[in-house]
Amino acid sequence: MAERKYRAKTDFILRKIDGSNVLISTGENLASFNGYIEMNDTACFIWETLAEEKSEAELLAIMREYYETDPEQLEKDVCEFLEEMQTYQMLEVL
Amino acid sequence: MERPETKNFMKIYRAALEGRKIDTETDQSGWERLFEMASVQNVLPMIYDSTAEAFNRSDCEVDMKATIRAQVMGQITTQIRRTDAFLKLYRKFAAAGGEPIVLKGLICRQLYPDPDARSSGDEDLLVEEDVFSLYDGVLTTAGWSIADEKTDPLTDFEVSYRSERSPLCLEVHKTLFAPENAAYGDMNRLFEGARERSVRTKIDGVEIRTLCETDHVLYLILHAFKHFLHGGVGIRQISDIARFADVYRTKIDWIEIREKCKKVRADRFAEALLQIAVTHMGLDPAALSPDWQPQINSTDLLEDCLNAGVYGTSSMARRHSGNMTLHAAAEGSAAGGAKRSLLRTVFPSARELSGRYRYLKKLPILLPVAWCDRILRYRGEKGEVAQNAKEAIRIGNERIELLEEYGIIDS
Repeated sequence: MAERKYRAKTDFILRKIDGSNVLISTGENLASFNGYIEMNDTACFIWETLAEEKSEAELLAIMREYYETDPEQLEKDVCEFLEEMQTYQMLEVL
Repeated sequence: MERPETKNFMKIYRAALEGRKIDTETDQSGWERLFEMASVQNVLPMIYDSTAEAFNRSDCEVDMKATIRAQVMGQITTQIRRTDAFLKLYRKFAAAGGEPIVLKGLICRQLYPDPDARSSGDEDLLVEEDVFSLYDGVLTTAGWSIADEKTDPLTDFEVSYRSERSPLCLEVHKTLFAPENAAYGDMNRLFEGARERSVRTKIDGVEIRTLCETDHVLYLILHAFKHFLHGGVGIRQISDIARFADVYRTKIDWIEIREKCKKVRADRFAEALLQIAVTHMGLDPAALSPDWQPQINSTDLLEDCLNAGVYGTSSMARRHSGNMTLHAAAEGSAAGGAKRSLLRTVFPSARELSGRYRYLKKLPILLPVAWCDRILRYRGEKGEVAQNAKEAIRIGNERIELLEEYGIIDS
């Protein structure tokens, strides 16, 4: 079975506002998410990486190159973040 | 006389226009007053951006800091959504074969250090009347509807559209100014041929049609003039003109602008706006043509701006004072003084009231009914009636003096 891939939805605009990385919802998802999300640098990095579709494994491989951290903790954090983004319908699941 | 508060506010606003951070030391009530002024002028994100470091270092309460920041974030993110929605709509217009002229808003924002921090309440389009139905069709298909059910899209010069799924408000104009308005309706003739002179520009990958530089600056000046007659100009309108002048410089025909402003007695008012831009907003006088080196007293106008709010709407009394200045300008003379203006304010003509009371268009005989309704509405407003009336008259008289000072009406 092909591994699931994720891609950031284009209905969100990423901006730097008052020193924070902010994702703003636009378009159809306004009805379900009329707000914005402030992201730390790591979350912002993930979001930008998912501009092109990636599987969880591909995403983790890229993260390990940039972040020197416990691999198990990294995998847990990435997995939780992907779930949260799906909750807010921010990702296309392919 | 310029108040210290005005000087301080303008110093900070100039820093914002130049994309600079500024150190400001004041107490909590000083910060509250600053942000209140910024909110009334609808420039809170800009003022916050230039003072955030100083503000966050201050001894202000944590709750206040969080509240102000949340307001700023809300305004900026809303503006980003509005811009995104507008550009998507513009693409739909283009796909349908339309090319409306974009006025003010989006075009002006691009001239600021942070376009998203320069808020626009709405976006304005100028379309040819004979193809209005094309734009109405695109908007309706996209889920937009006319904001005010009393609007008649066939006869009204301006139609507002809204969508439940967007924070954007769209104003579609068939003419730049309300043709039936006695005070400024004939300003439309100054823009004959504007579509032929219009230009294209690209914003976020979308090709947009807009007024040429000269027409746009003239429109910004006369739009401010219109609001000045109604109740006051906001500081943001002046900085839009300053930014245009600074960015487009030699592309602007200042001789033409002066000649056209003279035709509607707006030339000295325009000089005062530019004087404010030079003195308080960092506009380089070299950006203006030699005969436009403004040397006029603009202090009174600046104080009027900061008291007025965004479009002269800072208080009910000020809004009502706008009736007096409009009538004075339409009459072209202050003969009869405030009393005459006041009578017209309380008992305007059917034509003047037909915007709010549409039945007067077909049944002007019902004018006394509209008068009664209007007086009753005024009495129902919050605050003491007598106090509001006195305040409106006081403001109206002061503002009529400003009209005289800038040659808009004869003394």
